Parts: sequence; structure tokens; C-alpha cells
Amino acid sequence: MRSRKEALIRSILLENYESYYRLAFSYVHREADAMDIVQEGAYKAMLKANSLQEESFASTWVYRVMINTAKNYLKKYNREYEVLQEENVTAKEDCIEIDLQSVVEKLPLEEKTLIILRFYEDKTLSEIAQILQENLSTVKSRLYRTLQKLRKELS
Amino acid sequence: MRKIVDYNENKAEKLAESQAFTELENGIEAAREAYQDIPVPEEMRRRMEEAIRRAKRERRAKIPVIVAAAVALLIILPNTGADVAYAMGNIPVVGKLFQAVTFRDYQYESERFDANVEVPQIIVEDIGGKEDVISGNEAGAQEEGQEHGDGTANGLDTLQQTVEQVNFDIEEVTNQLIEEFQRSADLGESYGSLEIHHETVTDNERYFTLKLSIYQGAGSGSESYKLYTIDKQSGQRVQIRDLFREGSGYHELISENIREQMRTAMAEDEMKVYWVDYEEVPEWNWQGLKDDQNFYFDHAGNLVVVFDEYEIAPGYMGAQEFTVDRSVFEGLLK
Repeated sequence: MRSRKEALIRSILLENYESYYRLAFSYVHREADAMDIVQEGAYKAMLKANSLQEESFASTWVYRVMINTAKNYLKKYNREYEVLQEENVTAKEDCIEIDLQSVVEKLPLEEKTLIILRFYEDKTLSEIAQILQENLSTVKSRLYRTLQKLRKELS
Repeated sequence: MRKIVDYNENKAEKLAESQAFTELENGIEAAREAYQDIPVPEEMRRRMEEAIRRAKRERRAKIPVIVAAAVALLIILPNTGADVAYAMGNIPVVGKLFQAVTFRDYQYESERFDANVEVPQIIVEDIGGKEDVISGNEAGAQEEGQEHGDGTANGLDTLQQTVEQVNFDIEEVTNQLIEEFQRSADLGESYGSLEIHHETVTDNERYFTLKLSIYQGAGSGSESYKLYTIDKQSGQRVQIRDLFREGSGYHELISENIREQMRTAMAEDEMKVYWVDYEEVPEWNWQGLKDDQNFYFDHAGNLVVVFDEYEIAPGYMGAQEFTVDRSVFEGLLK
């Protein structure tokens, strides 16, 4: 039973690692750090594979592990990243095409995560609710607020 | 074009929102493409496989511990040691003076929460006859009623106090972790796990060291350790700084030895990363031994320095141990 869960988590990890990497990268903007985060998240997920009871939650669970790992990483090295993020955003400012992207970049982490999961990764709202361990209506209203904010920023 | 407002079930609202947000759609589409163009380094896949291998290795390495029978909190037995200890809980006594037994066994399992906690207590058996025991009498029999005159009573008091303190500390630490775990398990939100195991890593003529391994997880987790070393001669708990003579320069010598080992390991294996000579962010670099750095002596008398996860390396490296050869520090010991 244990090895079956391990095999499941393993295949989810290997199938989706590029998504985890992009998510981590949009948090930290540095290849080496994004890779650290994803590798560590993968390790944790494998190690705790047997604590997962419901197999149908496996893929949202792995996402959650990755996001938590990234958050811990950021918490640990917070100051560096605030500076880094500033630089990154200003560097991209002159490019019109990435206008919305740069606005998304400036969003607080929680809101950025919502946009990424919903629109860049095509997750459904209930999947997002599972990943973030929030109830559906909270996710809905938060996403709605975030979109309003984006619209205001753009106009 | 992808709809960005399909999250709302209410049709009227949906229409209003879709008008309000239509102008966003182009922007989001472009941003989405840019996002998906973020290049993923080729190395990433190899590192995923490495992470998976490492986790599997570690899972296998976990040896199940047989839970000892319940034993009273602190037992300092009289000279009849062996028999009484046997009677109290089938603890094997093979000439050993110090033992760690599982005092509390806490297990929990639900859909999202699991805990496997073994709380040890240190038991000291027969102080008076300690030299006889150590001299290798395998049956653990001691010369009965033997009294060691000078200072033994004091040493016993000190040792008793030390053991009580250590046991108290272990209880405090583990109780707190269990309570935290229990609280979040009761709330039932998210996930959590707690694993605490113990191991006697040193038991020689001079030192007894109990190692407590703590894995605490909520989604992601962290590994940390607590090592308790008791000096059998003085009866006191010792920290790493207590081992060495004042002004011996042990701190720099041992720290540098470990840094050198980190450099070698990184040069040999590019997967390995330690916070040493890291010029981009010098503050991350390891600052050398802490005064209460976790340590123990291995069977050959080498010093093993134990680090928590994140302490000297990025998290994916896990917790780390470095062994410093006794020849490096022997001259500096007290």
C-alpha cells in the first residue's frame, strides 16, 4: 500500500515538475533557488507519501507541498527577495507585452498564486480550494477581488 | 479565447463580470504564454529523480523501534541493579549503566494526520558500582554494597539531578510538539505529521549521548535533532564548549575542518551544496559551531557534529552530520 502511494506521488512529480518549477520561479526569480525549492518539495512529498490517505487528492496535495516549501524558503530568506523582486519588476517595465505580467508580479504572494493557478495552470476553483485548503467561496471572492485589482492597475 | 470568468455559477453575475473583465482577457492570455515560456533548466529533472531517490533511501533507513514496557520516570536503583531492572520491565542489562527507554508511545492516524512518537527517558542504574560495571562484566552484576568514599555521594546527586533535568527537558519538548500536533489534528484542517524517535548514539566509559530525532511536517516539514550528552565522570550534562580547554581555539579549528569537508564534498559532487564560501549571499555562510551545537562521539572517539535541516545547507540536502577525526582535536580536550 505504501509503495503504491509512493509510486503515485512519484509519477505526479515527474509529470508536473515543470509546472512546480515555473510556480517557484515566479516566486523567487532565480533558477538555482527555484530548483532548490522544487527538489526539496519533491523530497518532502515522497517522504510523506504514506500520510496521504485519499489518492484522488494526490496531485493537489503535491501542489500544496510545493507552495508551502516555497513559502518557507521565502520566509527564511525574505529580505533578499524583496530587493530582487523590485529589480525584476522594474527591468521588465518598458516592455508593453508583459504589462499585465508585471502587474501580476507585484501582487502579494497569495494573489499571485491564485492568478497563476487559475489562469496560467488552468486549475479549477475547487482544485485551487483544495490546494490552498480554503473553502470554495473564499477562493472565489479572493480571485474576484484580485481581478478587479488587476483591472484597476491596467487602466 | 479562453473564458476567464467561468468560475461563477450565477449567470447574471457572470455576464456582468465577463463584460467588466473582457479587457483583461488579452492581457492574461499574453501573460499566460510568457509564463509557460519560462525555461525549465534541464538539470531540474535529474534533481527530481535525486530527490525521489533520497526520500526512498531515507524511508528504508528508518528502523522500527521496539517499544519497551512502561517504566517509571527516573530509576536510580540500588546495588541489586540487574535483577531489579529485569523485573521492572525486561530491560536488557549487559553491563550498561545508562539506558534510554521509551517512556511514552504516542500514535495517531487519520486521513490527513499521522504521528509516531516515542518519548524516551534516561534510566541510570547503580551509580556506586559504576567502575565495576564498566570494567566489562557482561552480566551486569556488581559487587554488592560497595561504597566509594570520596565524592561519590556528591557525584550521585549531581548525576541524579542531571538525569532528572534531561528527562524533564525531553518531556517538555515532546509534550509541546504533541500538543501542537494534537491541536491541528483536532481542527482537522490541512495536513500534519510528527515523528519523534530516539537512539543512544554514544555509551562509552566517559559519555552517554541520547539523540532525539524530530520530524515535524505540515505539507512540507523539517528535521531537527536534540542531543543530550552526560559526562559520566562529573555527572553533568556537557555542551560542545565544555569539552575543550579554555583558549584552546577549538572553535576555529573544528569549524574550519568542517568547512574544508564541505568544500571537498561540493567539489566531488555537484549535487551537494553547503553554505560555505557562498559569495552571492555571504550572510548565508555557516558561522561556525554554536556553543550548544549538537554533537556526539562515535565508537572510535571521533567527534560527530550534527546539524538540523537548513542549518548549513539548502533544505533539499536534509539534515547533515560531519565527523571530525579525533586527531584534529585530541590535544585540546580538557
